[in-house]
Amino acid sequence: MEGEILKGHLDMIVLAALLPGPAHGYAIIQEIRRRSGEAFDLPEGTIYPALHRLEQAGLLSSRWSSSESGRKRRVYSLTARGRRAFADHRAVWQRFSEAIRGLLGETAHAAPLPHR
Amino acid sequence: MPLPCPIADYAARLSRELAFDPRLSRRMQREVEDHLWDAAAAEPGEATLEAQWRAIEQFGDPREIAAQYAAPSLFRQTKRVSATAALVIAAIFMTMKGRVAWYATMQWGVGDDLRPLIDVAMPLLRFAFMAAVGLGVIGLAYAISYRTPTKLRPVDRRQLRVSQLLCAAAAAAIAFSVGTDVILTAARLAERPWSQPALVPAGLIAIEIILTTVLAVQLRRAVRGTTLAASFL
Repeated sequence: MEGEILKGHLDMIVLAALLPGPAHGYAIIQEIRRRSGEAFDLPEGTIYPALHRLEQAGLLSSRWSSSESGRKRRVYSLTARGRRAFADHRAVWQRFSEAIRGLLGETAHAAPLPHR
Repeated sequence: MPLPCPIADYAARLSRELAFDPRLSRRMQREVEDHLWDAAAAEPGEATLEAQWRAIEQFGDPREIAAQYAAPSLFRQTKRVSATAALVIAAIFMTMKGRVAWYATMQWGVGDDLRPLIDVAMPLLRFAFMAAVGLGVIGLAYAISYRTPTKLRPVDRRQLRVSQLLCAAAAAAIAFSVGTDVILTAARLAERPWSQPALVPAGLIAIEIILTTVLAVQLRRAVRGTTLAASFL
């Protein structure tokens, strides 16, 4: 999928990936890949500025925990505000995608324009 | 000969690119190392050097990643300094008032020897303090007036510099004010024998010095961060 289109929706994608529960950065990337059917394939590092930005905005919270290997791991989770923000994003996106689908559907079935 | 560890080297490089925000830099180094080890371990077999390099390639260029943090981090730091300047000035105003009230309560008048010093120093102290208040208010208003950009552009760097300059001017004025106050308080306490009540004005002056130092340290960090991030323009 085009990188620039993806970047514009990264915040919503990250919020969606955290909806099932808390996760660390690598797990979030894997969740995004899995649920998108491998359609979203960003450089993995781009997730971290988004996570940080959402945390600063109060939509995510994070804490240190320990991984199985004993490494320190930062785990992110949605806040109540984050859940509301995601619900708003989803509603806007659904309206947008329905409108686009309608437009593309109309265009596909329309008669060809006359040549001048 | 130590074994090469591309993941540790990459995390260290990202940490250096994020030097404009030391706290963020330390946090990202740990997070990214954990991420890359997970990615390398996801490959079949052990986390070989090749697996580490592939994980790093998938992660992205550390400089490009650091660049995404620069503007939000620097603007946040600068806004924090402006807010700190306003709070410090307000707190110092209260400690100064507290000291004046204490002198009145203890009926500690000013001796004739000290009068000439007071007559010269007090107007300077008041002027410096009012300048600090004015600059602090303007600096805070300026800092909260602009929206944090996503990328650092030359115009953003100029905004940061103006904000930091206003904070520096406010900090210098408050430092002069506190410095003058230290001299006056020391002279006043030297006039009388040491007693426990003298701890109150001495303690309040100590608080003013600490607050001024905190402001200076925060300002220095913000200025240093802006200088370090200049390469991202």
